[in-house]
Amino acid sequence: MTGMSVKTEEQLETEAAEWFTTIRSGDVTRETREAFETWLHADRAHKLAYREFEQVYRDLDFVAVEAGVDVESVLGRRNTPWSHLRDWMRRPALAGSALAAIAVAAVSIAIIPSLTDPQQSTMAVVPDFATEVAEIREVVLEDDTIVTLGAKSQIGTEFTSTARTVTLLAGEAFFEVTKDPHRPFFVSAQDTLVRVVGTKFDVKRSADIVHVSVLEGVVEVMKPNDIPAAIEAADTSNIDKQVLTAGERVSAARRVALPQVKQLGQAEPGAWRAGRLAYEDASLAEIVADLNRYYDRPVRIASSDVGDLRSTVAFRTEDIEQVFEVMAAIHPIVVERPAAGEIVIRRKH
Amino acid sequence: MPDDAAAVDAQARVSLDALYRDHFASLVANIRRSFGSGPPEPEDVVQSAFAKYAALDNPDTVKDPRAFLFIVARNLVLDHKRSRKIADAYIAEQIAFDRELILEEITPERVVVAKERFDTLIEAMRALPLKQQVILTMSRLEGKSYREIGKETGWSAGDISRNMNAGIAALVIALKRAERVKKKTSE
Repeated sequence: MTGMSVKTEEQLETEAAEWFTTIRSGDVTRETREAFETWLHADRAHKLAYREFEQVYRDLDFVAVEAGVDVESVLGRRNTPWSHLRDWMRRPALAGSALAAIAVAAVSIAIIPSLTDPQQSTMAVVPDFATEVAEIREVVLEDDTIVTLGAKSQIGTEFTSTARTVTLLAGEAFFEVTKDPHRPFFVSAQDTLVRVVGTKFDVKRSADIVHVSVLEGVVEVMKPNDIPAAIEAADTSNIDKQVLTAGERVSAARRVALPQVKQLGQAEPGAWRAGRLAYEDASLAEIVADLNRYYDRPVRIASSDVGDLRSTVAFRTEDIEQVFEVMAAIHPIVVERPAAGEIVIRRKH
Repeated sequence: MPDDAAAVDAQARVSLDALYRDHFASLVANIRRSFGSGPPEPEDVVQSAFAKYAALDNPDTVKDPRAFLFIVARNLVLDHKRSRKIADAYIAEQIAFDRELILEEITPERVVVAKERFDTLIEAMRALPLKQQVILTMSRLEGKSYREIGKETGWSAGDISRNMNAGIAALVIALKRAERVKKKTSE
């Protein structure tokens, strides 16, 4: 006898069930995890009891399906042609956000060309990689960073011993940046500079606005007066910046100070890599700019008040035809779709 | 004999083709129903499952190819959920100091060997209140946190946590009861 009080099987079961329910909540603090480990390792009986729960939980992979649990119908995820979009919109936006510290980094950056000023190459950078309309391509840079280039997009790259720089000249790119503490990774787009601490993120240029959204890790977004100098100095400590972590987005308009960082709801950064375009409270101008990168017919907005209409919508790039119908249903607009040639979106009178 | 070998090859190809024709579409539909449209795309994972099947040394020894394909495809979807993988790895690491306690994966072989266990669990799962079935399934198969489940269903975190606890405990107890019954009858 160890002198320890011996627990009954029911007591053990209750404790194990409680710990199981806590640990599998999906949101566990370090303190909780430490308390769990203390309990678990205190007694082999605890471990045996806990294992039962864990093993049954894992067996659900098979059991839930065989038992015919139909979450879709219970929750009324209806089976309409749009249901896959709705499903997707309902998916956990950032299942991995709590795990950001483990991974390297992923960020998405995009630029949408301005309606008034479509050609605006701010720097004389020659594109190293470019994609056509509707083409998505993955390129591996010399440091093993993976860049997924969206449709009709261009990037230029410059690698030195002190810095890694990618310039987004057009469109959108998703970055999975490898860690290199000695060579910070920069992405510049228009007058916005992103400094990456090691992350998965997306950058998009759109309607004179640069969008940066972060899937994993941390990035700094800033607007230095002199981008090349800031990169060369490798010191951004004196520049005003917004720090973005997983699940956050900032939309930086040209020649305007950085706005507040926004929380992303359901629109997962870089979802376009799997052929999904998702928008939260986005202007029609932004959406149409993307359509023009993914759709083989040009789409034009007739007036700027139409471009300012905002919507939250998601669709697959192969379903773009249907997007016009959805837009016409939710906004006071008419979509003129002649048999061939340009599609024009006008305000309804 | 090279001729024989070629004939066996040709036969294997014919049976794989037949398998593909008979099951591809329904497996894709099944995966989509269980896990949604991805990513990963249901078509892609079923395709990969067929590739794994084709790469087996002796595909003939698989008694139920459809079940094999389904389990392989499902494991591929689940592997895709990284957050879940990390949670699984964390717990496995906590438990794994002890060889006897190593957690078992779902494999086509295990589904056959541990048929009684799975039958008991399936029956117990069907007997749970619908809410508990849904919460357990969303947590495990969809990899959702209680917060995310709450967001979709409107149920409170406390309610979800209580139902998760009650549901998993009912399954564990059903297993123990089945084992006790089995022991008694064999005595």
